[in-house]
Amino acid sequence: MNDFENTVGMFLSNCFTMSLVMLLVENMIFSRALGTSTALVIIRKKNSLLLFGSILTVITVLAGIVTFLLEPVIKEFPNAQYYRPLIYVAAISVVYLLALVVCGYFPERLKSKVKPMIHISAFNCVVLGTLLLVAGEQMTLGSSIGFGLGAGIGFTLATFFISVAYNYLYSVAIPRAFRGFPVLLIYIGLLSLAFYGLVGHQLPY
Amino acid sequence: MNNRFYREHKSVFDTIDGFLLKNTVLEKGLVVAPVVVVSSSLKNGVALALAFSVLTFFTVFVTSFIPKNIPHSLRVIIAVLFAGALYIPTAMLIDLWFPGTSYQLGVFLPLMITNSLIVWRSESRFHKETKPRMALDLFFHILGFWAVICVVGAVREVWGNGTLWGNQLAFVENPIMGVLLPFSGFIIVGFLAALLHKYRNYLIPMDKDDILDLSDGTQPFGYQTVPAPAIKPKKTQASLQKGVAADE
Repeated sequence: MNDFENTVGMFLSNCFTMSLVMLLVENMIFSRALGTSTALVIIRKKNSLLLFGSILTVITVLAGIVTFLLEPVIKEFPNAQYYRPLIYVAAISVVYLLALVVCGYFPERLKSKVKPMIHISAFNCVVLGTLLLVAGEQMTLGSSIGFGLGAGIGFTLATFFISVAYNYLYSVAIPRAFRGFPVLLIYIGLLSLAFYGLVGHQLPY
Repeated sequence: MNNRFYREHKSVFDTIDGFLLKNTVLEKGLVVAPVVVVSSSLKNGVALALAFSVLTFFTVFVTSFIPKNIPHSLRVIIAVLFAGALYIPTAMLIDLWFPGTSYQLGVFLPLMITNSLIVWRSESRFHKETKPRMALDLFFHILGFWAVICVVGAVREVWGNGTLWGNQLAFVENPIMGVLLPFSGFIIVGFLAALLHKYRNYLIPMDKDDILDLSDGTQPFGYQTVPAPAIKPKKTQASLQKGVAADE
């Protein structure tokens, strides 16, 4: 029983630690800019942010588990770096189809909301990036799940921060040439700098 | 190019708008991540642009032959699987021409497989065009990406490292390493986008009636809004009361 408790404790500890790292230190958007294009599309549909974030988080967690299972097999092959992306894209395609099948059982109202989001949330840089980043590290199952969880929640949090600026993008206080997309990018850059400093980094000189 | 010349040849410029006025990165906000993070040198930029060109052009072109009666979900899966297969020779080519660069590019090289032009724009734009028109449009979109990533890569390499294509530049005495970090990438791309907006606003003067209504909260941003419309001020409770008082 003690061994079982230790194993579960270690699993949860790895999962929680990696989630926090991905949420704050290695945030998908602010540290790696992964999924920036997706975030820009999503913030135009502000109401769907939470729903999209939830779907994306489920897919990134599944992606983490898939990588944990597939990577030991893939890395045995010679020149695995060339065909690893193809295998992972195939894995995402399977997850995507499964998600569509599961979505088919939802009530009609929920299905009409969720289905268009599955397409955006499956094939984007956040999900493939999660797979490839987890593959690059030797992670335990707990860490892999935590990585996926933190990546999804971190993306949602970052998208929320970006969406806060949404209604101010056309403020008359902003020079005309900067209104809209340019000022939004500069805002994301400043948030990225803030996150960089928040976790204790110092700017190199 | 001045605005008169642009107006006279608008149909020609609409054909090649993917290069500048509807630029993939600066106007559409697509494929931002590699430009922001790994284009820290001109060589990285060129390697990424090469991978982007090969993967995007051939994937979008070949998948345009997939019959439309196949469900959309399956068409997307076929497209990304094709891009994944095409990635294998592309990555080998990058390794051959730019030894060591693929290591620096990390996950951003394979991430080109699911780039937004392949996943989103191919169905919404390119596959609706005739084949020759699509090839031309794709070419100019790719050329626009090349221009942005090379400019950003060169600026960051000179400013952050004091080198260009690995060659030391004598006039850069104190490079600022912070320019090589992702936040600088966002800010530099933001300034380039503003420069493009400025030029576009010059070419297409803003219609004064083009007022953006923020009341429903569903206004477009960035991608579709240049020239930037002015904000219609919201009527607050205080201003309404003031208006009533003035009427009285």
